[in-house]
Amino acid sequence: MKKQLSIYTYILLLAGTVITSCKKLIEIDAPADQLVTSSVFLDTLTADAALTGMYSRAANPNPGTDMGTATSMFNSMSADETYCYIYNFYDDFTNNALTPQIYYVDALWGTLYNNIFTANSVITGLSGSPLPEGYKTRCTAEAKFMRALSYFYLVNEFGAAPLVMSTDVHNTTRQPRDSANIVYDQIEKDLTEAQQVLPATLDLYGGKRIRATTWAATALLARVYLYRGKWQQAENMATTVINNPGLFRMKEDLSQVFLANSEEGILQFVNGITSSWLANNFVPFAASPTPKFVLKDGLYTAFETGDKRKDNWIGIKTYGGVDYPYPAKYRYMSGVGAVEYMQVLRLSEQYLIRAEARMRQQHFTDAAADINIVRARAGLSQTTATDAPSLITAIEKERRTEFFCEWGQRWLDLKRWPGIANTAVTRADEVLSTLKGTMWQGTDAFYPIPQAQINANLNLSQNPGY
Amino acid sequence: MRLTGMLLFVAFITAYGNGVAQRVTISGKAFTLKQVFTIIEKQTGYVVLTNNELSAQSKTFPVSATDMPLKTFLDKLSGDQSLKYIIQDKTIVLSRNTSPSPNTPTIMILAPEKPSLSGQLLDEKTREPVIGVTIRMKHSGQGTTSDASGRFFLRDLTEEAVLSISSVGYAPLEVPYKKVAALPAGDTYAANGIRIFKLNTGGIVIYLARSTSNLDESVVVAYGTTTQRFNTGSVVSVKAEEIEKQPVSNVLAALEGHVAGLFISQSNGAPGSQMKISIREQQSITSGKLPLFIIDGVPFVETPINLVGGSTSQASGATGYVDPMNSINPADIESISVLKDGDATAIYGSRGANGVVLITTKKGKAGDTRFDVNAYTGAGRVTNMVPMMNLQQYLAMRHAAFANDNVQPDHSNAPDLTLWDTTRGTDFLKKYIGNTAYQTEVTGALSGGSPYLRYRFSNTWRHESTVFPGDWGYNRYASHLSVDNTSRNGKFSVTATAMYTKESNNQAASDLTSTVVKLSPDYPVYNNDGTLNWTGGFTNPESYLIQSSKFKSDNLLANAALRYTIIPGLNAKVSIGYNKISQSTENYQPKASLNPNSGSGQSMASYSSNYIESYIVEPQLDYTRALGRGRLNVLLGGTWQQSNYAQPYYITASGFSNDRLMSSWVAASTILFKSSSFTEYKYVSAFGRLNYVLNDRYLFNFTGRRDGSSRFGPGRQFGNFGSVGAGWIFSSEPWMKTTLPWLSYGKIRGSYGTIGNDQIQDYGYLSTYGNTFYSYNGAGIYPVRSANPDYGWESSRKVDIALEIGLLKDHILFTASWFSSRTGNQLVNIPLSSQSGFSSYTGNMPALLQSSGWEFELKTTNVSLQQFSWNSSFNITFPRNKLLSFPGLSSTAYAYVFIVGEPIGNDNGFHYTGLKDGIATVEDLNKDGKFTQGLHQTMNGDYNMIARASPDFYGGFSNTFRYGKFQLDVFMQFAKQTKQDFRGATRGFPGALANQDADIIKDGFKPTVTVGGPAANAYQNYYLYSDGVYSNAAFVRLKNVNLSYELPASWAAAAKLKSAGAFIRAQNLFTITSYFGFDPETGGSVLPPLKQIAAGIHCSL
Repeated sequence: MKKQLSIYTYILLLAGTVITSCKKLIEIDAPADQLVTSSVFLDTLTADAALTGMYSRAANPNPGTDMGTATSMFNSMSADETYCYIYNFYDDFTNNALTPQIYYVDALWGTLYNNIFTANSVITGLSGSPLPEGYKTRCTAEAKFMRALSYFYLVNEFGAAPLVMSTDVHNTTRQPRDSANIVYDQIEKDLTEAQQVLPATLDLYGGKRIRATTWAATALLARVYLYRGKWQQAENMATTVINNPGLFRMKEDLSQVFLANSEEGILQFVNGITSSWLANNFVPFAASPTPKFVLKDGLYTAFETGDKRKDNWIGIKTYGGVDYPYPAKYRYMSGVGAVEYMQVLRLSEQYLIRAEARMRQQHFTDAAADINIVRARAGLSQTTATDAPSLITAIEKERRTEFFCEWGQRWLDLKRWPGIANTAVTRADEVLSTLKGTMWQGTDAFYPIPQAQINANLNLSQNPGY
Repeated sequence: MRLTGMLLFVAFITAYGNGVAQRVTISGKAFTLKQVFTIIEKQTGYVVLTNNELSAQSKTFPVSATDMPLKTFLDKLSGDQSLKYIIQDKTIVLSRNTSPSPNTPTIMILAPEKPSLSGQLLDEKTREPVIGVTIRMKHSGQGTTSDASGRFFLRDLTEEAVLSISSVGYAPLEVPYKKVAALPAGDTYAANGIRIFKLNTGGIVIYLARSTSNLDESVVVAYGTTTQRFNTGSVVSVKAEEIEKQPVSNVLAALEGHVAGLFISQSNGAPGSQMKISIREQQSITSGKLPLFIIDGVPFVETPINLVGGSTSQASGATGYVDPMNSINPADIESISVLKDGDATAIYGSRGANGVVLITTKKGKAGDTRFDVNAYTGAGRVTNMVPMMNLQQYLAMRHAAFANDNVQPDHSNAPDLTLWDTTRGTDFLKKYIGNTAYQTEVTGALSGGSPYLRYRFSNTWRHESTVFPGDWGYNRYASHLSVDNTSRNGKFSVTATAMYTKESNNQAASDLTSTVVKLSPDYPVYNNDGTLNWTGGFTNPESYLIQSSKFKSDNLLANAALRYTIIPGLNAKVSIGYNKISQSTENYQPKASLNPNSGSGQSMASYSSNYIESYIVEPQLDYTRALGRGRLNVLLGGTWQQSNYAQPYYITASGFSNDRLMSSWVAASTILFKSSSFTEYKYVSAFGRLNYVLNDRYLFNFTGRRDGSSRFGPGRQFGNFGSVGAGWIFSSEPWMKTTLPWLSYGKIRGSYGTIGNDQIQDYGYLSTYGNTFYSYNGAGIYPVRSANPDYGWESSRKVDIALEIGLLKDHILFTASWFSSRTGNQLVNIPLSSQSGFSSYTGNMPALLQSSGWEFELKTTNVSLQQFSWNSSFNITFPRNKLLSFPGLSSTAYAYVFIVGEPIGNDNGFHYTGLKDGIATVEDLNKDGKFTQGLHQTMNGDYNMIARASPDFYGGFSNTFRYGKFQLDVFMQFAKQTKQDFRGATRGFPGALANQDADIIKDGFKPTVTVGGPAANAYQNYYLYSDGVYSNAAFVRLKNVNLSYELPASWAAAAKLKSAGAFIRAQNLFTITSYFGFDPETGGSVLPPLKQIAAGIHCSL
């Protein structure tokens, strides 16, 4: 009996120790390299880091391609600007033969929604934060600007898109697509609200133009109004930005337009840790014998004689005795240091937005004046256009040579403009079917909704033609 | 030191031993005899054997001796206490001297009413005590178990009593008491394989013989050992001899095909590469599918450690993910037990759902010090190359493609036709993977010891080179030390094992196979100026040979198990283990290797360091006793485990002033990328097991466990698991023996258990922010994980039913088992659409997945003669898995891949319907005029299931022939499966600037050069997603042949060797398959497993 007792004593002792201390034994610390979300918006230092993170991820997502580089590259091929010389895997863009399986399209979709999620997280995090109201309002406005910018590219690249406004992944993952109009309304709302409260100076950001200001919101709003045909509002917004010579100036030296802190920049992104992704993508490396991306003839010949943009923003790579022009707005490759920042919004666009808006309101002289500001900077004589048809052509030509290979400006323009010969079709239909023949179909205007997304969210519908 | 001969034994009895060297020091006024005996045992290491009467004597007396020789002391003690003694071997047998001493009064000894018996159980060969053996009286069913020194005492015997003695690993014995009682002291009783020696005291020594039947071989199971005969669970054990025959670096490769229910396949043929392993099919949709690996009681993480931190760019060169098991030296492994069913695995609770693999390393054996050397060297090659187009065929295809599309070849779209020398072709496969790889392995092991202290110390060095051109190689140095210490009285023992492995793997930057198959036959590797040619969009294979990937790994695994016998039958144990695997990978990309089109031309290098560190402490109480007509074993224990997964750094740097400075990032001008991560995992549990064997034929086994894991959110951390197992050895029923005399063994067993799975990421329940990789005018953070605190355990319910049969004295052993495992509450990474901001989150799904199947094993002894023997072993497994139910499937992302009622993990795709004008066509299953992805059944797409993830069946067949001193082993492995073929893996469309397999034009495909054109579109978007690129990957492989010769003992002795021999071993000698690709096991276009032939010698000094 005594022996039996001792066994049970041991058992009880053992069991007792194990059970009572179980919970403590499996307590672990939060991961050493991460912060628990609830602690992020408790102090301004950490909240600032979250804001910085939002810009950093928008400018340098990992993995994937940032929205500026993706739209600049992919759209330049989808439109009539470039083709890739060294790889044939981009030919799906050049031939407008995208399928829902193409990785790059999924990456672009994912990059844009990632920006939106990050922005939504900041907005949600700040709404329950004990930080000062003024600080919260300003940071919220920055997030709203980022959300608007990302949605702008979503509706223009893909058409209708789910309007995700919260961070509740369980629900947002199933959201169906909302019409482009609904998305655009939200973009206008976000930008209008942001415009009210964002700072009007660069002081907050050490004089750099790398975070959203009221001017950035206004400039993007000008573009949104233009795209939506709200001519008067577009003109007003552009004017608001243009009337700030203290902050924004047309850079006379064209080689300096894309440098860090260039006065032409309304908003710039800090790309990478050394220099811009676009230079790395477009510009052939010094040691490389072949060109990488080549400007199509139509674009190259669109430059008038004496256009300084041709000399400053286009490079030439000679291979096999042939000269291949390539986009060289950004030319500083990695290893040189952050000499260039990516221009997200720049002043010359505001002039051309206003020119178009004024032209649409029949203010032809004013429109021509705005065009001439851009032309003068390029070293060109004044435009001869005086009426609507000639101004439409002049604006198209000027936008084409000013914004080539820049954030898909040409691609978006072609898709939003009606045809010149036939207004029942888009300008894209006219231009691209001439260039690409039967490869071009009207439905190519919107990229396919990535198959991976349709697989993950059965409520997503595919764009027509895919 | 060891007395084995009976003659010597008898001589000692008469000669009073020679224990003169042992000395005794003792001083005190009141000792009992028992106390004195204990002191003698402690000081001399001798075992004192006496009867109950003496040791129970409570009278005390003074004793005093200083450094007195043992014999003198015993003489004195015998005189004083009227005893007599004999010394035999290391045992002192003491008894009452019948002639009363004049100094002490005679003590009346009351004879017990019924006779009693004391005895000791010793192993026949090693003479070591056999512990924990049940000795029962057959009729009454009462009995006892042997204690830590193998001793037992039985009361209340009757004349007719028959003692039944059974123990794991020993042949069962039945001893009639009458015979023992009648045996004169000093005599030996030997009959029917039983040998019993009667001592002067009346006690007996029973020598137990090891069982020769496979059924009685010791099998390592959870927290103990058993035999196949008495096991209620499904366990397969693979012994060292099976592993040693195969010249492979990874022990998992040696297990392929040997174990029913265990499916293993290599991911590529490079040394150190990852093995895919699953036990009895996939149990979980997305959570970890790996079995739990336990090496000497220490959990071993089998997930490639270079995955820690999550970035795929850290994979180690041509090897890819490095299999951690590669850092376990197969030569140090004694046995591997694969635990498959609920009964065998439930005691591992939340970690055992995918099965458990227990690896036990070698221990020293008592005996003379011996030094074993084993060395072999060999060579390997790729056996099966995919036939590619030669230069003429290739050029014809290219010209036809341009003609078809009416496109002019120019420098940009056709450097192969316009720039390169179209008269010279190269067989790139032969050039880059057609070389010979060499391997050498040398093992030296020192072992020996006494019954109380045994040791083994072994060191192995292994080198393997690769089939790629250049000086690449894998080196492994493994050291293993094992020490066992048992106290003189056998009550306390310590087993300590330490294993240290150092690996270094210097590999080309990538597996060249998939790169070189694409090269145009006229592709010039070098430009005229000697630089690498980068035109044509190809990856230049030479760049991978200039680049390198240096992988280093250190693995330290240490374990100590302490056991103390509190009372006979009750042992307290504690097992403490530590494991740390550290790996570092450095990838160098010197300037000369870089494609100037796609990089800055700056040399680049990446550096990563990863480690996993685990601690485990497991206290246990183990109690064995005879109970009723049976044997009872109770185990109680607890586990505390902590694992730290860390990536201290992962850095990518560029801009080295000199390529020779790349071994440190300090020399880099730019840090392109940096990250680090740390995670922690804690785990705690209490478990218990109750095992009862009634009448040696009714078996019962119950286990239970309560687990807590830090991987779950607050309130969800704990779970309960358990199992019930039972077996009936019907062949032991008396009526069975008479009805079916040819049936030597028959057992039916079954089990049911619930087991969990916590193989999910750490911190999954926490929503967190992490650091951004790039600074944006300052450091930033961003959301890295969305939270779901509500997920809980995924648990499997497992059923296993088996029939085991032995015929013709166990010459034929057959096992058939059916298993089924149902896993519900599936813990999955629920895929999210990108619009939510994340790609997935962790959560439970109401899906119910069933894995089931049949396993058959057959072991036969075909011929068993003195000179010649032939043994065969065959196993085959038919696995199935099926999604039983999935409420709400259609609203989840899984609707795209799963069908209720069908297996999961399938490949889905179009049905290929042949070519129309050279353009691939597929079936429009839903007849909507479009070809859309998505399953026909669930999404109204045009996809159907085209291949199952797991084989229809697989298995192995091995034969061992022994003729005199020669032994020949032949092992065949087979599987029936369907896999994506070579075309599906390489993907380029015919006509593009890349080589193709030789048959593609003969098959009728129309070559084209236009991306997005009809032919290319149909090929890339329909054909490549169809069953047209799936091939029958069934195969029969002569996996291993081993021919060995053992030198006759007399010759070896003449050379002053204990033993010596030579052997030739071959791996993957040939494969019969119709698979279209390099190899049906690895599939696709990766380096296939090599055919290896090695020759070597072994000898013992």
